[in-house]
Amino acid sequence: MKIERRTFLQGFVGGSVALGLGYSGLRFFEIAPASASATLKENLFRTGHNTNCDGACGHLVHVVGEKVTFIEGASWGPNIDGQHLQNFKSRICLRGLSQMQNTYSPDRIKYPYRRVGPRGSGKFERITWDEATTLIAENFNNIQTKHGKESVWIAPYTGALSLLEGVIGASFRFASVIGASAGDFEGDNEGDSAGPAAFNYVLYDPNAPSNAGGLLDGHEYTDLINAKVIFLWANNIAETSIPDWRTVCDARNNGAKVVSIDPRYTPTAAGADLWVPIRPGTDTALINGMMNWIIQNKRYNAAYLLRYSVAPFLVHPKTKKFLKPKDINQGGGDKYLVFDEHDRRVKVFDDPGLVKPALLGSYQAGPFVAATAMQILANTLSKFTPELTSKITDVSPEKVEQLARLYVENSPAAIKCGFGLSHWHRGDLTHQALLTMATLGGNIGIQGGGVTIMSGALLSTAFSGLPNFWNPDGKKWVPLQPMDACDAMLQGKPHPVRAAWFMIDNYAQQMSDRNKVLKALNSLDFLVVSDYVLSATAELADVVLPACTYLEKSDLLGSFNFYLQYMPKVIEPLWESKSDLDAFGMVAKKMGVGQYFQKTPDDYIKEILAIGDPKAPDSVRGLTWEKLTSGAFRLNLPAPYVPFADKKFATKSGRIEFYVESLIPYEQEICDYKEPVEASPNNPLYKKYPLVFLSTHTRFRTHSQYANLPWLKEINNGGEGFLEINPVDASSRALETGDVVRIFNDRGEMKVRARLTEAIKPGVVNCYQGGWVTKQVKHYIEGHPNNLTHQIANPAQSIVPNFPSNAAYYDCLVQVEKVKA
Amino acid sequence: MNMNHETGTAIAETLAFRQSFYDLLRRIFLWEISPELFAELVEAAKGERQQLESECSYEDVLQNSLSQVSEEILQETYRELGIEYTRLFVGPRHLPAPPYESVYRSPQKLMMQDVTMEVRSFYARNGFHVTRLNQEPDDTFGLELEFMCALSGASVKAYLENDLAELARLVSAQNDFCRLHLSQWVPQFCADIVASTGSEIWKSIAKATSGFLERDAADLKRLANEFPVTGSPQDSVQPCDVARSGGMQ
Repeated sequence: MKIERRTFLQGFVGGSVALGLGYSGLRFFEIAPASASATLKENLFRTGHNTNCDGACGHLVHVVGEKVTFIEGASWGPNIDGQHLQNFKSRICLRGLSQMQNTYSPDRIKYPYRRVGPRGSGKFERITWDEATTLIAENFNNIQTKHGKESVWIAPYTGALSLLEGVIGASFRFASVIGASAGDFEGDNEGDSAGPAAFNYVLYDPNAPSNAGGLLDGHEYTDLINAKVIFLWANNIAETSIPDWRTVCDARNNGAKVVSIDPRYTPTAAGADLWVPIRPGTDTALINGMMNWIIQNKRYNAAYLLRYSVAPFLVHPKTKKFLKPKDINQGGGDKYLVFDEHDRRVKVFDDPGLVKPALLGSYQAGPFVAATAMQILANTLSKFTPELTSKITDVSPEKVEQLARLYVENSPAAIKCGFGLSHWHRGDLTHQALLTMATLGGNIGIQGGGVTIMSGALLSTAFSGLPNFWNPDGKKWVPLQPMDACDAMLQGKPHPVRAAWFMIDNYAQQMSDRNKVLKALNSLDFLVVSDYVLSATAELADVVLPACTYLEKSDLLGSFNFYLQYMPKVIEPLWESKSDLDAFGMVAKKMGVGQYFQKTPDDYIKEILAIGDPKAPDSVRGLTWEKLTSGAFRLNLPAPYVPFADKKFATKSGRIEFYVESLIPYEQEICDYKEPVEASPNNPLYKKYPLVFLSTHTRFRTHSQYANLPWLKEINNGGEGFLEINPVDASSRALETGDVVRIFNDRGEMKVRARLTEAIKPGVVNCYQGGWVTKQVKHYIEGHPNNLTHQIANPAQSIVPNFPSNAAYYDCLVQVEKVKA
Repeated sequence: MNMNHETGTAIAETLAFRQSFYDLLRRIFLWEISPELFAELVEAAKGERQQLESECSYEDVLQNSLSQVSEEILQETYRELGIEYTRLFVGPRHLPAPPYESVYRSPQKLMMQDVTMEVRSFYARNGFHVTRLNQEPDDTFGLELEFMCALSGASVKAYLENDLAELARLVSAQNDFCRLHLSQWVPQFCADIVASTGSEIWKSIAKATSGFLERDAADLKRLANEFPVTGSPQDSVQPCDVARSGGMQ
């Protein structure tokens, strides 16, 4: 054996590097008894996928040798008390199936990092958790001392939607104990809050901030089977919430008619009995047109209106508020007044002598001629003839009547809204109109009826210990919504924000008016981002923390159905990733409030669910820790869950208030149609920017999560975004499929390839949102849909403290032009 | 075993050199290189050049690049190498050269795949497991190097103690690990480093690494012939399905 070794290392290695070490000096190995091979046993874990998706899917995770090998749908148990009330099927979608790729992606953030180059340069150095948390604690302390406690903004949002991590839990506890500001807990409020605001106007007391405003308090999806007709309003459920589409299909097989109201011919529209391609943003006018037909033809449910709504209440002709005895006589009472047709006298609504309250009409009441709320509704809507409605909405007069008939001639009638309806400046008004129409049809609080945005009221029915968890020792965070955060960062309004901590929240790309957002984030003194991938937001951070995926931490799924899904730690956190709870604990300790983060996740879950507490709510009575961790049990509620089944409403009157007193200053007490703030043909801007720009969701990701997973990209144009445009609009711009186009308005621009399709209305274009725009991953050729959107909030919503603002992503006009090669 | 003195010296040199080089490489790829060790390396590289011979070119490449580092830029160069190490192998951005065997060899290019478990079993058969089991993937390049460093160190010891049965076992294990794992992905991994870094030193480290491993594969083959395992062939390991289906060969 001839060895020729002449090397500079020869002298070197003999010196510094010890020879013949044997097994000593190993840093990353331990000596273990030699074994032929480890026994590989398969273990099964039941968990829930805590992403921001109303699937709330149960996952059965197969683990072989500590490694996840397969994910499938998990089964569902009976109610906690043992009653088996429904057969909830086990199905998951392509996003759930792909979660192994998410957890085991080599692109995971593996360690804590500190930025070393200019912000956004992408230059980081690895640091320890101890160094990272010291940096955070020091910076937060300094900034809070200098600019006030609330100048640190904690922003969890919906990347994780579980009880402890993400949008519901521990981040608010952390914000409370350090006195920081934080966004509202119910939703990202970025574009989801218009619907809940309207629920607050009509069905709740807007000033009772603990309600979830209908965001989660919808009908259990299994209740769709009881509907005779289902209106999927701006809801592409077959694509965005695939496991729930099954229920719509079951209902259809059961004889229900399915209507899809959408400017795009979506997979949902393709599966519906009737597709109504409406002009985007004019839904309120269509609902008004339907209601006018219903009223004119007296097809409303009069008994329901009289019994459960404010319809018969008289309205003061001057103040427009409900007329009260005190308005007529000095010293009169504060009760609502109605007109009794029996003896033609005005009486208080609960007068025992009241025989036949008038639903319609105007009546002399003292010095006033006062109309009933129903009459005011009828008057207001009378202009919405099928013809006018058609002119506004692009829906033919015949179809307006057909839709009205479908709604009132099929009882019960269910309306399931998509968030497409919320992404408008006046999305609250549209939901207010839907709730008004549902009242006319007698559809609120009945099986198979209602207006549902999402379902799964765990927050209000099961998590009784949550207020104490959020506010230990009565400490409270300062509310600051995402829609208001940019102004806080840039202008110090309503208070300065100089530091922020985002948790799996991609604000830098998912918030509307991205150029403003980037400016705001870049103005911060200190930015922390916890995530498991380097998102556009993480890329800007001063400190990046490695977050766990849902398989690596113990938690409880937050909401979206009525089952309690415990999430066991299925595998150890990879590399140095940690749960938010652990990260908060480390920082809290260094900020002197470590005592609030000393318990285990399981202990917090026990407290929040009041396990073992004799005062636990009925919905969780009988729940033990063993039960919680042995399957997915349903709350002790009738199935399917129907909100307002007892017809009790937390409004001032205790009735459905389709006439909303507190909206009088905004001239929105009745759901009269108002034009979109931007995307209207009557807007002078329309001449310059004649296309309505939608940025809808796809089945291939949840917002921006999973957008870069290979399995999902493989079946999605390689991940590359495109612009859907009707051939009519394309031909006037000499566009063909594959051409690169520039989409622009005064706020910004983006570039993608065009895809011609007749599945979108002329005058409307669409680019799927959620693609990535990081330094390394670009799913659009240039820019992002949110370069074009704005942050103009409807001031009417400010009457609801929980849902004061809403991002109107779709209320947006653009022009499209071909980019010359 | 029939060995003359000269061959014996050459074998001892080979065994010692391999161990040292694996030790150096594992320090580099686990970034356990201290500023002092780096300074010593640079100093050594500035020593007398030997005649170039193609067989040794990988070391010359490394020597060349290291010898360019002057006293004035020593500290700055060390700092930049650390930052580049983070960019190439650690993150948080997309890794141009992910230092994980399974990313190169599994069909989905993911972490913690079957091949990771095969590496784990391989360690276990040789009496090891990694300290951060199930958190740091077993098939991280630095860990594979440390494993080879351990076995090569034990080989030196066995040779010096004239425990030839143990030596044969160790050589066979290293030969198998090299054949079934390192050689299956490291050439492509090193090519990815060369293609994606602007740092001459990192380029030269990558070239030296793949050059060394290529040569070590040949050395191990020769050593395995020299010191055959006697007795039953139960230790002979066949390439697995994953190895055959991997795309990085």
